[in-house]
Amino acid sequence: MAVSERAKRYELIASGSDATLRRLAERVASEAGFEVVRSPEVGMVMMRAVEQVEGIPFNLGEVLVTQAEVKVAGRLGWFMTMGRNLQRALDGAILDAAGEATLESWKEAERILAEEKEARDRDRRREWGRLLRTKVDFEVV
Amino acid sequence: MGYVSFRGGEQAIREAERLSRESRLPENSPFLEVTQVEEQLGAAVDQVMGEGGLYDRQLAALAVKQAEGDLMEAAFLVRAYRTTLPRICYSIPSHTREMFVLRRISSAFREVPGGQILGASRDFSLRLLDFKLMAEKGAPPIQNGRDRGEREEEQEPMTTVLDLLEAEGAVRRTGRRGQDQEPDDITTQGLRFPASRSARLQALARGETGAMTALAYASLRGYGSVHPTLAELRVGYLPLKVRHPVTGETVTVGEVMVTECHAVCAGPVGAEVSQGEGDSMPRFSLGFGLVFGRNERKAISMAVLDRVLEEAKGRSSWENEEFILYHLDGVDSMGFVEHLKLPHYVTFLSAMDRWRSLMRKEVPGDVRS
Repeated sequence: MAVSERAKRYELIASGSDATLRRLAERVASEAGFEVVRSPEVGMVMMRAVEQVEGIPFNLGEVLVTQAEVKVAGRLGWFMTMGRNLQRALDGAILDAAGEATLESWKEAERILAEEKEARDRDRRREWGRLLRTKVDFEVV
Repeated sequence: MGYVSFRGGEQAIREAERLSRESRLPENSPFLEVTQVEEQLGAAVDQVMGEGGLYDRQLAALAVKQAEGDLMEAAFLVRAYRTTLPRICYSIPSHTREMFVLRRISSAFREVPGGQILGASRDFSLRLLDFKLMAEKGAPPIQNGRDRGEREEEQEPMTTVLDLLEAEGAVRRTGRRGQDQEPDDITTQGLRFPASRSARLQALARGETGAMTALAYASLRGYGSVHPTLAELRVGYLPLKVRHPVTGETVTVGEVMVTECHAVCAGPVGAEVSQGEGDSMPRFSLGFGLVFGRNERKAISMAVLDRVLEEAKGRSSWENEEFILYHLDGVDSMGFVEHLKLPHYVTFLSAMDRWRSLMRKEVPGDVRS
């Protein structure tokens, strides 16, 4: 199934650091302003996982999250982040709305977030490279 | 029997709480920062997240600090806090095949597809106190991996040992149709017996590590019949996925560290237990464990107890579902045990009255005459 632009944008915003989202959201706010539709709300998502014996889902436990909803240039933006992080939820929602409204500041943000995502992916590959040093090499004696 | 109300002790309670606060913070002792607990006492934080049933490293670290290192008390604080929060939604179920693996070992086979990755492990170290830690001050030097010539590698999806065993027909994972089934939620409905498999796994996932270890140990030592081989034990990050409120698509909010265990069990006399109705093939049976954070002891215990509960069906008193699931919850058990500290003046007076009455009847001269 094709992934929508909005879902791709969510993943891109989610890969940005707090500081980057703050800086980029400020640019959007100075270009077009924003209106808070739903103030950042701290709550829980019950995480489900599929167990491996019968293949049924079960409730593993709750995860603390923060979500917010804003309007930029008449377009709605929503964002949810893990943990208690009101500012990040708000900044993410502002960027999501900016993407919906195809603002100039979003185009710049998209480029910066893509670079940050690439850096994160690289860190992950490095992490796996480090872990591979602990791969067991059995010898028959 | 009626209850009698008493008043008093308010001043003593206030002073006791003040003393408790003071004893947590002796004069001239530097404040322990919550971030230090979060970053350096990871095992405690992981255990509290699991037993508290709420994944948030910062909150769990705060609870550990506030409880002065009492992990059951910390889990209680986290459980109490979660009751103040709204439940936004249920996630899209994550499959552990999606895990970014940090550690993966098998005690069933030497060679497994993708290899055995020890990751960060103390398994092979001697349990000797490291007195060098006494001298640690300030912050550790920054480790720059690039300077050590680190390579970049893409983690490929791993075939699990269970996949191999299933392909050979040694195990059969039953009930794949159940994937669309709505799981029970013991945080909203409470535990009812007989418990569904989903309710049971949820109860085990938030069980108290020590209680689960003790019960699993009892089974392994012979008070039960389950003594498995670990097909796989893994630690890694699972994606937390929700439905986007506008598009309805699945989006990944973040990652949650988990420990997963697949246990393979033989039957009581080597003749493997057949799984599922209408399956005449002898096969190994399975136990499953999945818990928040890195907590291998608990994940293994969960897999053992999962199997115990599947096989038990009243085999012995301790293998009973109610016995196990009611007694492994830390908040329940600590509350019940510690309630004994509360005044029981009236009930004990009643017991004393009965004893005195008995003694009056049994005055030696009267009885023996």
